[in-house]
Amino acid sequence: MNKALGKAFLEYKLLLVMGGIVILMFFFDFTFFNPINLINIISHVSINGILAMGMTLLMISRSFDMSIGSIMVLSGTITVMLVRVIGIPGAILVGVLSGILMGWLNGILVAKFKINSFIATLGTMVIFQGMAFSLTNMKPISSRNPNFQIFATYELFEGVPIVILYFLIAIFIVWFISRFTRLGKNAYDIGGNMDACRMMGINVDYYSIVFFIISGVFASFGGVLLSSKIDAASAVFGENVGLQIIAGIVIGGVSLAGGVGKVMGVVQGIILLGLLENVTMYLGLFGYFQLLFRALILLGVVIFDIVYVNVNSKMLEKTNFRKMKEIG
Amino acid sequence: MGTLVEMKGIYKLFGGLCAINNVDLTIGKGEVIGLVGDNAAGKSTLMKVLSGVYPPTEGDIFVEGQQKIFKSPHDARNVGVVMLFQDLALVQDLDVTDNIFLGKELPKRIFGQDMRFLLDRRTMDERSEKFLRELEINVDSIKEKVKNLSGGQRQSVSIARTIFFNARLVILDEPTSAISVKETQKVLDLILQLKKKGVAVIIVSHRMEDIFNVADRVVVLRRGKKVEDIEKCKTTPELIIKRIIGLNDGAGCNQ
Amino acid sequence: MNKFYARFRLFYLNNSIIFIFIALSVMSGILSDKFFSVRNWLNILNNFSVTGIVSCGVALVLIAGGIDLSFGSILACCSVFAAFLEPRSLFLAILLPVLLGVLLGLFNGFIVAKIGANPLITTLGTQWLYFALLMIVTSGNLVQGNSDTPFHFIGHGKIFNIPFPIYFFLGIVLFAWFLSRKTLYGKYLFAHGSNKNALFCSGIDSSHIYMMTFAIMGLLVGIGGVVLSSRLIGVRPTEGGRYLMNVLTAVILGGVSLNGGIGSLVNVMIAVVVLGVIDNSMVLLGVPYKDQQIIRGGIFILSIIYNNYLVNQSEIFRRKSVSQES
Ligand SMILES: Nc1ncnc2c1ncn2[C@@H]1O[C@H](COP(=O)(O)OP(=O)(O)O)[C@@H](O)[C@H]1O
Ligand SMILES: [Mg+2]
Repeated sequence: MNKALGKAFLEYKLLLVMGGIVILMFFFDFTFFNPINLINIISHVSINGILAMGMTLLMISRSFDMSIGSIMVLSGTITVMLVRVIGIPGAILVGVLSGILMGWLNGILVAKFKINSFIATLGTMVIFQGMAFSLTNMKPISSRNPNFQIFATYELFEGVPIVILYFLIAIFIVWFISRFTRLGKNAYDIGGNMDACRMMGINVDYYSIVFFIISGVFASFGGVLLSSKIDAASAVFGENVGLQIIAGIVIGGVSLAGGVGKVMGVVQGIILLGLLENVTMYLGLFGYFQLLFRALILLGVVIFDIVYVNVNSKMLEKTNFRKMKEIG
Repeated sequence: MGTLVEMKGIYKLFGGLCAINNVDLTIGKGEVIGLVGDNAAGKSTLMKVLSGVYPPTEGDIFVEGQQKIFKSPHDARNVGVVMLFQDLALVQDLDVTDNIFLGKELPKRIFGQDMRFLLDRRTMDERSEKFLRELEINVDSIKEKVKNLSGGQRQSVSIARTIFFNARLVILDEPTSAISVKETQKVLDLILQLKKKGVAVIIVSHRMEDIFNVADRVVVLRRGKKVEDIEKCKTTPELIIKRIIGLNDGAGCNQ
Repeated sequence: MNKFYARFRLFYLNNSIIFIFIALSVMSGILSDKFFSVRNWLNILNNFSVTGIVSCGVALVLIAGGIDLSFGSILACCSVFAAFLEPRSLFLAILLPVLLGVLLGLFNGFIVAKIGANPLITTLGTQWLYFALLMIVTSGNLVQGNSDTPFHFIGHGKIFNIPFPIYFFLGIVLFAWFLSRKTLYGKYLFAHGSNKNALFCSGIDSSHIYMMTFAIMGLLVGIGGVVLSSRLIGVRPTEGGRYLMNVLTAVILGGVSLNGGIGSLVNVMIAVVVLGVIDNSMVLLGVPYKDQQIIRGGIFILSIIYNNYLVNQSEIFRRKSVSQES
């Protein structure tokens, strides 16, 4: 009984935090609750959410990708520049596909050249952003084609932009992969014990590259969406995005040690961060309070998990010992 | 031969899993005990409890009749109980001298004053060189990093360490599992040298011939319980193997 | 002769950054005749002195098996604090920011070493925490100091015609090298990064060492903050962000292992100078500013690949020599 409660608490602690925030807002500012604002929150986190979905499998398999912010801006830049040359659909396609190439490069560096994923993607982060600098001449660029914006801002219903649908699709794809496919199972296995997987004949390098490509494609899709949403691209849009997404995923319950994590947890983590952003804005607080809250949540979650695991295993040891003695 | 260490009614649980289930173990002074058992029988766990790595869930440890509670390996070491883990005992990126003196570094003397935070590398090098020569342990250079030594050399160095620090009970967890035949012989020689100096040894191993080479007594664990504790001369490798896998040829020692 | 060759080869395989440095310098020297002037070199060292000071601290943390992403924020906090104190008291403007650095580093160290949280995530959190607090306290505004005080000398003065920050840089490298190679702390630092279980089993509680390493990093970053503040006269809170990439690059190029236990402070210093040489040569060669970052990133990745290759080679080489003898 007690155990079930503890487990449920662990599972839904983020929802509890969100609930707490929402209740606080109830007292502060009731206009917060108008549907437009709530949709706003979701549509605002959609692009970050798509990036996070892309990196979730990668992080479960115990690597990570610092370069997604740069992949995002480079794809966005390519798309915006190509709109005038080859038209909107072609540009979007090339933009999204460019993510495959970048993800593949990351994967090769990590899987084939055996560079630590942190270092490798730190390097490509600099390179991809540098390419965007070169292409844009360090200035924001725009396609000046009003139709380009439709791709991200088309409204499904009154006030519900299509990016939300993209986000839902991304969630579904990654959730499906993680639950029902060999690819997903391998992500957990490789993250849990890479050497054992190697010995069992799983092609770890191949899968690792695939996870990087997934991360790259989702990031470039996010980049295309971002540039379409505001019809602009700039090389500095992506700074810090990688770390932000990693934080969101960790808050969502994926361990840096690999092997554990749930897609729905990550979705919660990302929405929680979006909610915090929205609330700080709504309360008219100075923008950096959002960063403060984000930091506190991240540290809080990380420390909470460690303390919880420690206390819990000690308690388990005691209660099980007592039971064992009683049975004899 | 008096009793050195006594473990009584030891339990150790990891979460719900009972790794050690009510084990008693007595170790005499200068005695060599072979501890055997299948994989996951709990050998390492029992030894870690004895050396202070894990606190027991329940049970008492007595050293020379006095009850001791080991909160950390530091406490165990203080009463002369030292465990050598396979490959864990040495720091791979430090050189041989640094490893031999790990935890007992000699401070530099400046103006007749011990400077505790400065290392007297030269004296330590000289002493460890001399010491290894006495034990006939060959390393190319005591300045070599441990990761560049062979498995047997590493094992020898880590056993030498315990002699160096006057241990009274040395626990060796699978010391011969990953080294060549020639090197195994060296390690077994060192164990006998320890015994000659009056140091008690517990050797955990899968290899019957090694156990029967050096041990005075053989203890068998199965699924966390002690199922055999017998003088070497009263048993044979075949009988022990039967105990390990749980075949009881009529003797009926199942609990 | 053979033995000499073996020694040299091992040295080369483990200290590739020195040879990268020489090769790059020769190349730049050929391409631009201004490169080998004393003035140019003092310039390089001077410009990269803060990077160098901070890199030493971060290198120690990596050797201990950790990592720190928050040093940029700590640097910003310390330099802003120094700029704030400087019109009030020269003494305090030097002392308190350094203390602040130690405290912030210690906070990281406590969470990582005592509570046991992952260092990457923890210091990502504190990076944001420190920066957010700094922005909230300063409202993001420039903090103005005076320019004609003795404090100014730290960043702009010269002794024997050599800019003062260079002395700081070299002094800190010497200090960190001494700490890591000659002291008990240094031995445990490497041991903790390499195999903290061995330390634990030897009865040494090395979590103190680990925590102290973060504090020492804070100390060095604090000193870097004072130097930075004095160089800039007025400090923007966003100043620290620029250092993140450069410092991590220097430390990793210098051959410090992300897995801990391996690293040389002297090589880190050389790596810092290499970064300086790269920047300097790009300016001398007239590479357009917008293209410089690709080149930096490319050199970074290529040298990591090359370094990995050398480390593998050196391991093969060593194993061969061990098996030959036995
Ligand atoms: N730190 C630990 N946490 C949880 N379970 C453990 C831990 N250490 C050992 N175990 C479990 O305890 C049992 C006994 O393990 P161990 O003592 O290592 O066996 P042996 O050394 O005899 O092969 C195994 O089932 C193992 O999975
Ligand atoms: Mg074992």
